[in-house]
Amino acid sequence: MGAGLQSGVSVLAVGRSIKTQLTNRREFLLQASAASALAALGPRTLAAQQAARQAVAAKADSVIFIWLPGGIAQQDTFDPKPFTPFEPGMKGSDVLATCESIPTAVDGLKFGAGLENLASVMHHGTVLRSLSSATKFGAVHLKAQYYMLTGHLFPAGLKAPSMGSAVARTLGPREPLVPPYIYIGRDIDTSDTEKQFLAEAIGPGFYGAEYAPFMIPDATAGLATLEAAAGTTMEQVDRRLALLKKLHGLTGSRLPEAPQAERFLKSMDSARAMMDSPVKQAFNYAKDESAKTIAAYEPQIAPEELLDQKYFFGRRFGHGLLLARRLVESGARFVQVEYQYAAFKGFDTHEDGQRRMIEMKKQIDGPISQLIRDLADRGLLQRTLVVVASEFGRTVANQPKAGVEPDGFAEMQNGDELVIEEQKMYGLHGHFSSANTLLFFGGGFKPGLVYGKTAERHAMVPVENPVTLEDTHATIYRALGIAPDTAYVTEGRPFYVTKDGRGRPIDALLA
Amino acid sequence: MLAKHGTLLLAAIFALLLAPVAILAAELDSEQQLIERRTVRISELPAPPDPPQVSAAVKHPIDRFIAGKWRTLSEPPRVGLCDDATFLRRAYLDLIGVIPTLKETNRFLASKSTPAKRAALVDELLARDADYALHWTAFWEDALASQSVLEQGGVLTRGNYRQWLLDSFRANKPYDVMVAELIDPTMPGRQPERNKDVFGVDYTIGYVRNETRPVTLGTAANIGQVFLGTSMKCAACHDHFENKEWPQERFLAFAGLFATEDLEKIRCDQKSGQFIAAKFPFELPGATAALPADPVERLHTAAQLITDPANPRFAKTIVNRLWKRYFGLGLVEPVDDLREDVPASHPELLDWLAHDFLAHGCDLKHTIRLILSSSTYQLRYDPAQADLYDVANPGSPRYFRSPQLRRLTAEQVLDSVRLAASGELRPEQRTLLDGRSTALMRALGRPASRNEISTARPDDVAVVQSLELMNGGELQELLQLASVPENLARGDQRRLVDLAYRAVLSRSASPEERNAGREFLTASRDIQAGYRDLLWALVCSPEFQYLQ
Repeated sequence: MGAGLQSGVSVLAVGRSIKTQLTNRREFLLQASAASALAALGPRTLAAQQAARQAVAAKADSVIFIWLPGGIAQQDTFDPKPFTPFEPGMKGSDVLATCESIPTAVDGLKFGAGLENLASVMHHGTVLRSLSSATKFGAVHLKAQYYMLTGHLFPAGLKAPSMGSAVARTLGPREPLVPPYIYIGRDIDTSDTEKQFLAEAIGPGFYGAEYAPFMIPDATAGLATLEAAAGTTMEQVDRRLALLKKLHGLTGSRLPEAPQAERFLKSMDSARAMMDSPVKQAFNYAKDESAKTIAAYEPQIAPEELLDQKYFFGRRFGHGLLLARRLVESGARFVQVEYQYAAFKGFDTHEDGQRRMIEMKKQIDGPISQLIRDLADRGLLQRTLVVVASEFGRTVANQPKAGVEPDGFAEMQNGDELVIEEQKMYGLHGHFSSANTLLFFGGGFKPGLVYGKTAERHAMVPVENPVTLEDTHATIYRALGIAPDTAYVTEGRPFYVTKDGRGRPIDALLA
Repeated sequence: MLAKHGTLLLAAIFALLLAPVAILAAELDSEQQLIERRTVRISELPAPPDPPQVSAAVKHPIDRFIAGKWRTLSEPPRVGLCDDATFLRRAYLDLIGVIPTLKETNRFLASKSTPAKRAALVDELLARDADYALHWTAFWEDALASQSVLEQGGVLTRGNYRQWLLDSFRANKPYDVMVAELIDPTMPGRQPERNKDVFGVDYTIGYVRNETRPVTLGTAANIGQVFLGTSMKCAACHDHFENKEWPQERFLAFAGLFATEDLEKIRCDQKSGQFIAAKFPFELPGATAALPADPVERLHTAAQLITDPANPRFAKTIVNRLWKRYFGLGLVEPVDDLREDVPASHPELLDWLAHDFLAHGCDLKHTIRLILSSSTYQLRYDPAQADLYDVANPGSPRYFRSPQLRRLTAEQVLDSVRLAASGELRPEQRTLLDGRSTALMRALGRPASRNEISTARPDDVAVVQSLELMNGGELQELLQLASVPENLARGDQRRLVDLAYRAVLSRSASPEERNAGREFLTASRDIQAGYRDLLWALVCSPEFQYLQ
């Protein structure tokens, strides 16, 4: 049984090497269904995890996934185009970028102005400019975000797990008391049905609650459930837990013999232990870090200066990155930090694009670059993969009320029909699934590399080395030592971490 | 295409509404037709197997089948009936989704245990129509992916079925009528479809959606899974890899029933140019195989075929779901994936239950009452004898010598805690009706959003959940609703402990439990805080969180 367990587990994690032995997918699936009982058992032993990773030689142990939803205008940021200043009456096709470009630490690589700090650390970074989606999401952010975070198009026929959950399940925690998948920066209050949908996109899908993200909405506010609830004390928590266990032992039924009862109590113990754990200590950055460091994670603009003073998460985001770094230092596996999404706000520029991009860049430039510097200084950058992503890029709108076009319509047009009469209409205001830029730092990615090129005029589709999302995800998984056809069985069939297990790592991106 | 469908539907409904007298005189409406047809079709079915004779003492048909299989065991099972407190808790949580009030607990436990008393309790609970409906609706909202909005961020839903479910269960509407109302546009009790404008395009929101291929296939897969207990999803894009019963053409033929025209065979994104004629996938002796071309009439026929008593999967699927709901494991597993090559653990019992269900007019309460009045349902929980389900061997034998441990749903936990702490639970306070999705609800398994159908809540344990129970504000707030009654604030605190047990666990506390509780209360800084701590320890215990 022991040997069977080992090989069964490795079928699931190191699918690729098994595939070379089997003739086709059907045999693989027959093997997988025999192993499905094992999949149903949940997380694998530490030894099995290590065995799986050695087989595919991981380059990174942890991930900090910086999620900036809304659809970042790549022309003003990471894939800059010539600056075409506002002139009333200009055509949409004349808008190539709303800011100047600046040099970076990498020869020949330019970024949009406002990203000077980030530019200075790009010798650590990889820029991928040619991610293109065959499915055009049109106006629908939710589907695009679901796609980017899970690798599957909604509806996927079942609840697709997010990348964070896939990593958590496959690699497990690095430290026993540090949850493998942590999510920073998003409110837990999901009163809005749109936010409820998005909760699924970052969730564990069919993997179940064990792989759900550990949510930390606001790094500056600590985490409520790691502290005794308001109105109670730690002493009370301990007394309650002791009473629970005592009474449970006295119950006349045979319930204590049940494995579920054991697991339930064990989980309570883990929860209690977590309240004293490194996770808790990671929050104490105000005490541990220098004022200079903390200042470097602050946004460079205050809410009062913003066009929309009510949408501001700069401080939460910056401190979230600092917390993410500290969590990785304590042994976190996958930490996603979000600049909280809201439709039509932040990066989702449907109007006032120029000004809004200036505001957003001021909030991400300092913190992201400081994170990279800190990781490099601490010798963590090599084994920590940092990803910066948005769900799609942007293009000019073809009409003043951009974003209302049916799927795909806006993608290929060049903006000739749009006449920009006022400042409000000046900017990259249309969604563009055809080209998206991602940044990677550390974790086995080739530093100083720029991969892929987009056209200089609209439609700014990739003209060199276009890549798919499944291949991009496969590359990230490869860096972590996870085979792209790693699968978990549900409803009697395997579900792969990349679509149909067909993701292929882009070797050119990896060192 | 959509407009035409809508117009036909309106025409059908108007025809029914505007000429009731003419209809009664001339023709039955779709609901009446269905009921008549059911009666006729049942009479054409073969007689169900007789429950085996086991002994004079074992009379209940379910018990006869179950005990019959026990005779094949190498040693007779050591089983006994559960005590009254256990039965009380089971019946309340199973039938109305919340624990009994203190008064109800005291009343039930005060009198001697008899079978008649238990049967009377079941009847009483089944008669609480509103509560029964609320509890059942939670399951079905998940199964239908019912959502409170028609569209979220461009993603269309299939609509909001909450009110229709509540109304149908309150009236104890026959199950086949309910299923037909979801599928058949001509059914009089049907919830009307809604129209939704999404980015300038007009969509019809209903349970059967067929405006695009993926959505049509989704409709068919959902109906197959929920009402026919059959997982056909994989066969949407290719022959099902490991279930030989479902080559792609068979699924596409089934999906064609819900489409406006025959579906093209597109295998792994490759178009074949071959169109598959719509066809009902199961042989129904005596039923017509011809399918109308008109989409509305086709759906009407599809509903008839799906709910036909001769449909081997229809009645079996629902009685199997009921069995799983009350025993924790189905007679067939997985309940959403019945297969010809995976035998039921008690095939004759399943046949008998299915036939009995049909013969009683697809009355869910009838079968529920039948199950809860069996001795099998009332057996004591015994972890040593409970069946172990092995997902790799779904056909491995089951004996039902003990119920499975079942995790309470989020709704059951929150409603019960509120009731235990505050002493009351008003209908509008039921968690089902709460539109929010809070951290505690999600930690306890209530989905944040119903984007996909689901027939089971997650029952796993996770640290996030434990943290929420331990330190979360929501549970604290609920516990703060409790206060020590004046007359028990001083004096022997063992009575207070017993009160806590009765309120939360629906049973009295043993002497050891009373002593342990009293010790704790005495050492607490104040009696109110101590009492709430005690309530916490009981609420967060496996005994409360699980149903045994």
